[in-house]
Amino acid sequence: MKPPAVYRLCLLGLAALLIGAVVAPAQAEAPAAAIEAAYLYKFAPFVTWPADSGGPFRLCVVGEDPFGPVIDRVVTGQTLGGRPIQLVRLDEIDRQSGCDIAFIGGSRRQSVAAALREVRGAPVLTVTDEDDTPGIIAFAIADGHVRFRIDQAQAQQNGLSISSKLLGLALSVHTANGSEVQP
Amino acid sequence: MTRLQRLLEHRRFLAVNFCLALLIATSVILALFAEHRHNEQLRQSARVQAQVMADAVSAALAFDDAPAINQYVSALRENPDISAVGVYDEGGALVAQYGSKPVPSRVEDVLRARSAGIAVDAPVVQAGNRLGTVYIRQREEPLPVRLARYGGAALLVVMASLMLTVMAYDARELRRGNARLRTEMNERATAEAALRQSQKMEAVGRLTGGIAHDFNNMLAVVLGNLDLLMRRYPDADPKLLRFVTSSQDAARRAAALTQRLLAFSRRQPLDPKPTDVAKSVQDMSELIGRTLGETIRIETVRAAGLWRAHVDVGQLET
Repeated sequence: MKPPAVYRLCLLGLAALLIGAVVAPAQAEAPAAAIEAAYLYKFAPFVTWPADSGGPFRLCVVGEDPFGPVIDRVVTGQTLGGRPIQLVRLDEIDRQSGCDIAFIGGSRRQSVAAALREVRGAPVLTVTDEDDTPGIIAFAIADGHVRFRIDQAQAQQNGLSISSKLLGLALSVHTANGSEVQP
Repeated sequence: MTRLQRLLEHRRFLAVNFCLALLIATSVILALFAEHRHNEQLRQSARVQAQVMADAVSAALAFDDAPAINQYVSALRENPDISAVGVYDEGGALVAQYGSKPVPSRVEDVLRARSAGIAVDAPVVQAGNRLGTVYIRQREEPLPVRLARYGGAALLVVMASLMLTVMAYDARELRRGNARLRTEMNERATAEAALRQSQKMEAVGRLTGGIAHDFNNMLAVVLGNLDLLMRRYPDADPKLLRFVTSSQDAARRAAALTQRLLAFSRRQPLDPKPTDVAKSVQDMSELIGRTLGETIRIETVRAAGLWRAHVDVGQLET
């Protein structure tokens, strides 16, 4: 009777170790994604859109979604200046999508660069990941922290003005006249 | 004199005490008011600092940029009036702080202790979105500094109180002196009246003396003529002679009376002689008895075998 119990315990311990080994890297990935998900809507107070569209604030995730359910949790119950946040997942973005902020993950149907081209000149704050073609705001990891770079030239094209406070926090700012500034 | 003046006259000390109390109460109230104003200004300045801080850290707070927040917090260290700073995130957790005493770790504690001391909190708001809270505690001024602020005013109050007290004492002394002077004036007036009376009496005496002198001369004429009559007609009718004798007696008595009047008015020099006092009293009692009338009886008690006294008879009899 005894050996099976010991075996069962050993098996359980082994299983736990295995699961831990598999889950741990996934958890290490998760905070960055969660932080990025939270940052997405936090950019909004520091950005001025040319005209208030009224209605809910549309936060779009275009193409590949790196956040998963995390972003749903983060956004739930949040408002921006009294406007509720509406989370929208899109495969492709165009000028009629009505997005205020768009995280562009890219997909086979519409690459990041293509999506950025599509909404150029429209009042959309485009956000991209570090390795892709940079949008107005591009996430970056510095010293283990999630930070971002800002492209003011694109922002100007889209008619957005970005608060100097936000510019001050960026790792680098690509100004309208093409120079790169490190705050 | 108005009612107020009368009141001041009689209740001077009460009035002075009232003024002193009023002065001290007013200065205390003013000091408290100034202190309140000063604290309010300190709080206002802290509030402004907190607002500036809140505005500055908004982006850093939203994007968890702890180094940037710490940089802003450290900048406030330069302000010696600020003893503690705390920055709280959206969830109410402490993100950055500095201070001699630790700041509350949760924003709820900050909001609960809002009224205590010179501590203020300001919400971090960006475009209508609450991102966190900034808490600033103002350093309490040390007691000597506070006292020094009111030292000048307190000194003035003390000096004014002292002056009022001294003035009140002076006024009391003045009133006492005045009363003394008034008493003296009254005494002098009484003395002057007495002097006038005595002067009047002196004048009367002098007049009496003058009259007595002339009267004496006339009496001398009357006595002389009566003596001549007795000598020239020694054997006249005895009844007639008795009339003359009684006239002579009356005239002599009148002369004695004038002598006394003269002595009284000091017109006659003193003429002391060895005198039988008992006999003199006997003579006087006869005279007084006749003057006073029959309704008053006079009894004299004289010691036997008295020595003669060296006096002016006229003076003794008067």
